[in-house]
Amino acid sequence: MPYIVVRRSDIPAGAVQITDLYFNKSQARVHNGPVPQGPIYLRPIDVNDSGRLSPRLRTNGGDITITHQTTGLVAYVLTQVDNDTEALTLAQAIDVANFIVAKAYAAEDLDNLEADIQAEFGADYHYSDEIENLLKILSGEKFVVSANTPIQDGGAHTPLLISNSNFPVPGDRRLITGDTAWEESLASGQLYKFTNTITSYFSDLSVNLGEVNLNGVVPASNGNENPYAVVYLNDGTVITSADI
Amino acid sequence: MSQVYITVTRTDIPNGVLQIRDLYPNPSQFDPAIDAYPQGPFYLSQPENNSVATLTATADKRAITRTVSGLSAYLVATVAGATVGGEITCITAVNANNIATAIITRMQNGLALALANINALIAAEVAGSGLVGTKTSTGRVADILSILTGAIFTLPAGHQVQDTNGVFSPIAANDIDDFFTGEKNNRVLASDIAVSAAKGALSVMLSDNFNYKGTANNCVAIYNSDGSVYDPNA
Repeated sequence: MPYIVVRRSDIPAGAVQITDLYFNKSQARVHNGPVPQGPIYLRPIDVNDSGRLSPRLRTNGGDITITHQTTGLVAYVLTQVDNDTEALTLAQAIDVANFIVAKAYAAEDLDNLEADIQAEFGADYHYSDEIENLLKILSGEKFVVSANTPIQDGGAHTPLLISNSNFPVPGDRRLITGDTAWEESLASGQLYKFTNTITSYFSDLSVNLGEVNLNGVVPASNGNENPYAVVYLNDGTVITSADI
Repeated sequence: MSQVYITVTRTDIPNGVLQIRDLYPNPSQFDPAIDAYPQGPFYLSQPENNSVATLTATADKRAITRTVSGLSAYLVATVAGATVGGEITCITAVNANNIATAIITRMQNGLALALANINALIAAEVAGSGLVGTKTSTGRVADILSILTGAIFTLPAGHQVQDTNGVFSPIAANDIDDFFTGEKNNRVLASDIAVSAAKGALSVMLSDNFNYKGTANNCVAIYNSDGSVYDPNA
């Protein structure tokens, strides 16, 4: 199942719509027609690395738990990435999450993510979850971790066994392998435009925030120098219009 | 263009009860001037599998005693049997019935039916035998998948499967379709099938939560034309 991943953080969820996926809901006939595939609203990646609802950890000896229900990529990294068999600290998880976001913003393949993480953070980092779970999160699907979820037990990281309950709205972000609607869109329609051209959003193309130096601090790029989106296949590789 | 075959995996659902209604175009909206040929609705059917009756014998000649339809009939007419005295013979009626039952059971379990899988089932009954590519067999995976979807294959009474010299006389590959009545039920794997299997009516039938008369279990299997199981979530 392919996934559309937004490459910028300056586009609010629901602001940009892919309208050329057939059937559109407005023409769909629920009693005897195919399930409508469009429109799909683009959603930015929910990193959730700060604020009241971001993940918080409680340490009790060698045990670490996530204290309250939370969502997003940092929570996913905490549950799926370890450092020499121990759970990551919150700061380490945020670094890994930002690394993954940067790769998605750059439209880089994610099929060797563990090796990429190890090359960036050291050989003690391990990640072995199914890449499709990560792609769901990157495409904007809501990933939920319950309160009091353990991520370390007796000093050893305990990866969360991800189930449907962690994605309370399953399937709503997936494109379908074999459906030509998104393939045509990616070859020559809106997905082609959104994956190939750099377009301003809302007003004129704003300054690339990654190049702005505020009192010596360079904020993270919001990706507004990128096209809107990239399409990933469920093995973590990027598919482009040239592949259609 | 890829083809898929949709089979019924449960025995408690009669022919024509279940309909895949979300295939496009549906005949009710079909405009022959501008639309593709209607793909739906598609009714699901059980595989036909009447037992092949005892073969009549005149010297070494073998022929079907009465008109019979189904998978056993297909197998007895297209799968070569044991080699006896240097001659390749036909399989027996018992062999054909047993192999057909094994193939249908495998389909009902949702397992792959690729050439190697079917050949293994045949070889378990008749050592060294298999579909086309083995001895003088002409039987094909795609035909077996068609029969499993409910397509009707019929052998007329008197059809010869072994000549007077004791040599298997299979239906020639080019003539096999002549023994099918109506559609062979292969469906082009287009967007409508893919969407239905991933998110539509077929996805419901593929789910273990599908309920028919109080029994919850999946009720269909989808096969690619090579006999591998189609994965809508790939």
